[in-house]
Amino acid sequence: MLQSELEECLIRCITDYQTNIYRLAYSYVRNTEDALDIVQESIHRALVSAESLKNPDAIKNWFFRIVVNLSLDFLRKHKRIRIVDDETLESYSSGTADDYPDLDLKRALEELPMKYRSIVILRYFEDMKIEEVAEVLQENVNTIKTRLYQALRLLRIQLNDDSSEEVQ
Amino acid sequence: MDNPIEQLKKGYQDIPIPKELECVVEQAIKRRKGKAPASK
Repeated sequence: MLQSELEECLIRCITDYQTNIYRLAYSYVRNTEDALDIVQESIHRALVSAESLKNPDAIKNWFFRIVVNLSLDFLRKHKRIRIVDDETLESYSSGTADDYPDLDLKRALEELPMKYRSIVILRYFEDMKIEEVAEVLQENVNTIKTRLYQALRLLRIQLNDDSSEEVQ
Repeated sequence: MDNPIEQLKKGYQDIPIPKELECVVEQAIKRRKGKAPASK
């Protein structure tokens, strides 16, 4: 594919997914201005480095990866990432499963460590396949499955049969 | 009642999209196009 065609594909992808990438960025930074800055910087970075993209079919995942990485960079710079140790993590998931009202469930998601939250967002909110999530986050598929299972456990969400098969 | 994932997804989809987004996207694309036209 010619570089100009690749750039056109990328621009189409950016335009088609602009609301998705805004929501994705916002879900990390929780601030309109910062999310818009990340969208702008992501587009700039994607267009500048488009020539490094070898597989045009992977444009969407590649672009989403840029958005995720820039969002995480932003949080690191602003020290908004909480380091949670295994013991604390375990305490999140202790207790019996129960029905969460909306607010508690939302808070539980917000308190989920980033490595789990990213997977939940991409898999369930952006409707990506496990393989696509793995590509965006540059992890292997089994790692994503394990973390997804742990994330749902931390959220105390019972999976239906189809989802259960997916993460086991 | 929706399942928990659907509840969370609805909250995600309800994140308001600012009216500036379209302009920010357009400007970012134009900025790049203006500076460096695509090579052959």
